Amino acid sequence: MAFVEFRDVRKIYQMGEVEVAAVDGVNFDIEQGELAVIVGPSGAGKTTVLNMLGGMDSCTSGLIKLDGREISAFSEKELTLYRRYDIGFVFQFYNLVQNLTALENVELASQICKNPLDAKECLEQVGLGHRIGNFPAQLSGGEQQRVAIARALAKNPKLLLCDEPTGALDYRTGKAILKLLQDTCRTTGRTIVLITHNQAFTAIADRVIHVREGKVSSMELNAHPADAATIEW
Amino acid sequence: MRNAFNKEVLRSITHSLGRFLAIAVIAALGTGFYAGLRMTGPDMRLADDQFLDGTNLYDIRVVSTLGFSDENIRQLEEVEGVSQVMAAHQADVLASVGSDQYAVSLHSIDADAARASDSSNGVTVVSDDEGYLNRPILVEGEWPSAANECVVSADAITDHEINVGDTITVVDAAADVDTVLAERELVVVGKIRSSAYICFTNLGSTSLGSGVLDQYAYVTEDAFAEDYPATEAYLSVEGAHDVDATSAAYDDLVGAVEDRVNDLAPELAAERLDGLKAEAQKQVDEARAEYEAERADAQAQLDDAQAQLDDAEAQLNSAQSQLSSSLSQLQSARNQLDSAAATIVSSEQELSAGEAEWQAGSSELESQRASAEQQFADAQAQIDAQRPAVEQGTAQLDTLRGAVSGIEAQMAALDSASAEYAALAAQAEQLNAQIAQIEQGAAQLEAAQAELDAQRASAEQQFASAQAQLDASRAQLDAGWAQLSQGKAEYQSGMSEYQSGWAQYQDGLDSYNEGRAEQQSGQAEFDQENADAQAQFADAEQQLADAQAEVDELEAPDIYVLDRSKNVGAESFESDSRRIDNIAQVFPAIFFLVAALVSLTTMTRMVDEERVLIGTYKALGYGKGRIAAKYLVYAAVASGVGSVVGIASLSQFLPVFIQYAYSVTYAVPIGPTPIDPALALLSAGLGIGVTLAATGFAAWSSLRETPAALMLPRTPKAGKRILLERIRPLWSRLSFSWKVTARNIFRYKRRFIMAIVGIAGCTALLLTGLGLQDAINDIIDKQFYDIYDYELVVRADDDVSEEDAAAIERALDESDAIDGRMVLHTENMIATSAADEDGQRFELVVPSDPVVLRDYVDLRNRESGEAIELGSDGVVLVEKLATRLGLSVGDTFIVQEEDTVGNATGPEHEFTVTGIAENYVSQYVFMGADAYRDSFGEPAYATYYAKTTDDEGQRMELSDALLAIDGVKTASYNDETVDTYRTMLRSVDSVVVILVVAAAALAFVVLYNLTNINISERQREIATLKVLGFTPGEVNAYIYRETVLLSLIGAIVGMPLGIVMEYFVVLTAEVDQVMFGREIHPSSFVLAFVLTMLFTVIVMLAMRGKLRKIDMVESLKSVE
Repeated sequence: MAFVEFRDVRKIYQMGEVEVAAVDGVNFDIEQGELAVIVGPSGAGKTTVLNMLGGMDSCTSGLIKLDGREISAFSEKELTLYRRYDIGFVFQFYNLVQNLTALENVELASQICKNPLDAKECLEQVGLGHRIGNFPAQLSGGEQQRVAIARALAKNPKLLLCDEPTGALDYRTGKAILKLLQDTCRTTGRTIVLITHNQAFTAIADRVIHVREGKVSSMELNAHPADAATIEW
Repeated sequence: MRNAFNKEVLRSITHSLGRFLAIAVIAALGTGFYAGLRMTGPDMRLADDQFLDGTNLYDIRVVSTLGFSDENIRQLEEVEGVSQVMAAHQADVLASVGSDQYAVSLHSIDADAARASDSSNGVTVVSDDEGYLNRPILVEGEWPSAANECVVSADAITDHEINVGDTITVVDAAADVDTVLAERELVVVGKIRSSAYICFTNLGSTSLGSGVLDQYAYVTEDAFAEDYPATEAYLSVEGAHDVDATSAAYDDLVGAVEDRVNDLAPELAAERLDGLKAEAQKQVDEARAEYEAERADAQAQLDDAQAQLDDAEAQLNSAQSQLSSSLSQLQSARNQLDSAAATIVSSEQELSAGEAEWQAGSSELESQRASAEQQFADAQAQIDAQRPAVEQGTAQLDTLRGAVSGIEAQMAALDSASAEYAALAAQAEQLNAQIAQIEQGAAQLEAAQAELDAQRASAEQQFASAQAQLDASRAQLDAGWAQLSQGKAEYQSGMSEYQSGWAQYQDGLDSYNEGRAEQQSGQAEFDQENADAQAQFADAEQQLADAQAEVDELEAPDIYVLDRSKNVGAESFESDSRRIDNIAQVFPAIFFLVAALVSLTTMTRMVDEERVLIGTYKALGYGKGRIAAKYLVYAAVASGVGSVVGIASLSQFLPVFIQYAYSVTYAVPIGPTPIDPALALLSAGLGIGVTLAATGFAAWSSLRETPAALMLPRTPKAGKRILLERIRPLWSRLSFSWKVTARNIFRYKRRFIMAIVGIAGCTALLLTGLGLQDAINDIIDKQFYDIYDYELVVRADDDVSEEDAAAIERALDESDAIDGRMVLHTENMIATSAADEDGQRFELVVPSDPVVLRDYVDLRNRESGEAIELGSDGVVLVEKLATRLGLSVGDTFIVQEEDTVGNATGPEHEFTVTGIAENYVSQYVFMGADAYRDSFGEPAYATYYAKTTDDEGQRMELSDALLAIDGVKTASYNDETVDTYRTMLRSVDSVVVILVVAAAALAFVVLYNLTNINISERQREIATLKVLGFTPGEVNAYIYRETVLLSLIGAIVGMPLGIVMEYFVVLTAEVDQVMFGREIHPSSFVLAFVLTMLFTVIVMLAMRGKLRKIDMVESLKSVE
């Protein structure tokens, strides 16, 4: 049994009279410890997949499982707890709380978890041990995203979800962030799902899931993923 | 203008209704409250003006202390500007209804005019008679038609309601009741409402009873005594109806006429004086003539009586001298009789003695004769017996001689010296002695015989003469006896004559004594009568002299020219309306301030939200002005709509609502509430202006930026370290959400200030409302249950007799309702000071014992609660009076007595304040007896304070018993009026309701706006938190913690603000005779706080949905 299972997952939005299927029968598995990349063009439904996997949205039909638990059957409350304890989320625009310092932003997440990691250590881990007292506004985009990753990691989640984590970053910084995520996966064995439209990122993934028009068009395993530092786009 | 830009403006409104409404509602509140409150005062005055005009209330009231003559009225009619003059009778009386006693102001009314008038709409009185002023409105029943009928106020506050059919019995008046009224018993036939008495709680003052009027009543002219003059003249001023009675124009118009009447006053007074003087002099003269005649009559009678008495006396005196002469005659007769009687007795004794003497003489003679015979016979016998011896002797003689011769012879013989011789010589001598003896015997016998014979003869002779003597005395005796018996007869007749004379004399004496006694009692009686008559004459003289003095001293009457400002009701209504004006100046400011802040924050947010749009417009070539216009138009439309709605609704609602609240105390009907265009425009202008200014300010900074910069997301406002973080131990303990909250609060200063000001305003309004309620309730609670420790006040006349006073005390002591009593002297006086020269009316209270007073009145310092000792020379003022007079302990003030119309009169007495005591209702000065005595003389203790039970029956019984005693003026239970007061003061509750509603509206607008902005601004943050797995509760807390904290800070800031506002309102709203409570109760602070938090919670609950609706997907979106 795979760590993450998607079985015939559909998400249908009612737009007036018309039903629009954002996700239309998606099937995939992700094994524990893998760095999975879900890739596809805009509007392919990858974000919807992420939302459902992250417990931010529920599916219209189908089955979603994580670590043997059936997410798709969770109630709203269970979903909240699921997000709280099992999922770490890295946003495209970092979504740091402007009024909290780097450390506090990490604590924001860690303080609500059962088995959090030490916030400071997490920041040190992402290379920001010297900036823990700074406010987001005082940090560069890359630094902010590192804080966001530290925040996600500090929760000690089963699954780290990243939505275009480099989307708002410049090339170099983006690469550094990718490297950080890859290293995290390698060193901590944490399962990471990365969503991107950038085909170049598939090189660093253990598993690549291609999404197109609400369906998984193909899935491949990468026996030898490239190092994030080496890829170019 | 149908272009795309305008369409966008229009849509921006419809697409952000919440924001639009926030601005509109706060603008509505600000402008509405401002306009509404500002218009309330004028609306009240308009209603008042319409009511007073509609009832044809006088403009000027002229009062004369000696009344007016017909000529006076004519003089007044001729004053320029006076259109109507209505002369009327008025008298304050003390009247009893059932067991209650009330001070009633009695007015005469033109009953025909009243009957002909129409007051069916309850607001105006229509009458054809222009001269019919002060037209009362008939509320119930009918107009009085007979002298013994009256109509009373439908609204006056009395212990028990006076109903149609009740009888009012007049028991006292300022003058003798009979000189004032023709009827003492007045049947209530109707109830009225008079515009002369528009304030139910203050009908004015009086010299009677407790000093305040409880009721007013109208009676027909006939109810007043025939000689009772018209005491008042009511004047209408030409054109006064056409101007607002509270305007300066009215004051000018009436003031001018008032001045003319004042100028005329001396003339009026002189005319009245002349008339009265002439009349009075005539009366005195008549009285004197009558007196003189009566006196002459009486004196003549007296003189007659005296003459008669004198006659009687003379007669008695002559009778007396006659009596005494007859007495002396009688006495001399008696003496004569007595001496005659004595003579008779002595003559009888003499005769008897003579008889006895004669008898003795006679029998002596016989016995002498018999013894002489015997003697003679004896002597003869003797002689005869001797004779034979003699003759025998003689016969022996010759023998013997012979013998002798024989012896001799012998002898011769013998020697002589012989013995025989001596024996013969002794024999011879013996024989010779024998011879001599015989011879002597014989001679003696012969001599004896001769003597006996001679004796016999002389005895015979003697007896003969003795017998002759006896016979003569016998004759004498017999003559004497005869004389005696004649004398006796004479005496007897004399005696009987004397006795009848004596009896006659006694009779005379008796009748004399009788006559004398009669005369003397007559005299005494006369003397008494005379003295009485003289005293009466003196009395009458004095009276006449007094009357004359009175006439001579008759002074011109005081003429008072009083305009409506001297009418307590009209004046207090006007000043109440001015109070609303004052409050209106202050209160809405808070709303305008909040409106500005709400607009500022809201529009800042809007401009921020539309940053890119602004950039786009700029890029498209729209000018700054054009773009700014969008926001200005938006703000103008929002605040404009709000203003129109707010002004239109609140300028109707608030005046009506406040007038409705006032209608509990005032007779003024709720009038029309026209919108004052100037005020409406001012208010709307202020509201829109404030909003536009805030909007301009908010938009300006963004408009200055370049389109390129605008296209970029605004650099988020950097987080900043705040002061609180320096306190490490505290800060490190805070959870991140508290940290965020703390930083957020200080990050957005505009929002912070808006929230704090708004919430503080809300709390302050609540506290003001609740505090005002406390202040009002304290009046009753503290005054009647804390300060007054007595329930019953009995007022007797100052000159109540000792028996009556004793009767009052007995009635009190015997009643089961009484727990204790004390006696005091009370008096209404006027106090003035440097700070208040007009003077304040107060009741002077002089306890008989200042120590006992402590059990009846709790004199204490309001702030410290310490008891104040009065002492016998203390002068303790109540707080309100001291404040009005600007006095503190140690200051001096002037006390004067009060005349009948309530002006200060008489000498000025200076006193030093020794204490200031807490008190809420009425003005008192408590004074020690010594202090009183020094200035006013002996206090007349005629007022009783008593503690009573609540038992209604016992109380009624006691009241009846007390009022039955002569000299008792009133007996009133001070707690019986409490309920009435409570009902009345309930009008304040509606003010509290307004304030609470306003506070809630304020809180809602501010908190809604704040939360709205916070949520929309932090949508991303909230979505992120949700993604991070925050529960809805945690998300709510994250946002609401800030709201709650701001509410807390606002509420705390609002407390002192509320205290200040409440103090202002209390001072502004306070009326003359009453002091409102000065403390806001702790419960009110708590309630204000709790309500503020409740409003916060309501807003939070309402906004929860909005928070819940935030989609987590927001977190994935790009920053705008």
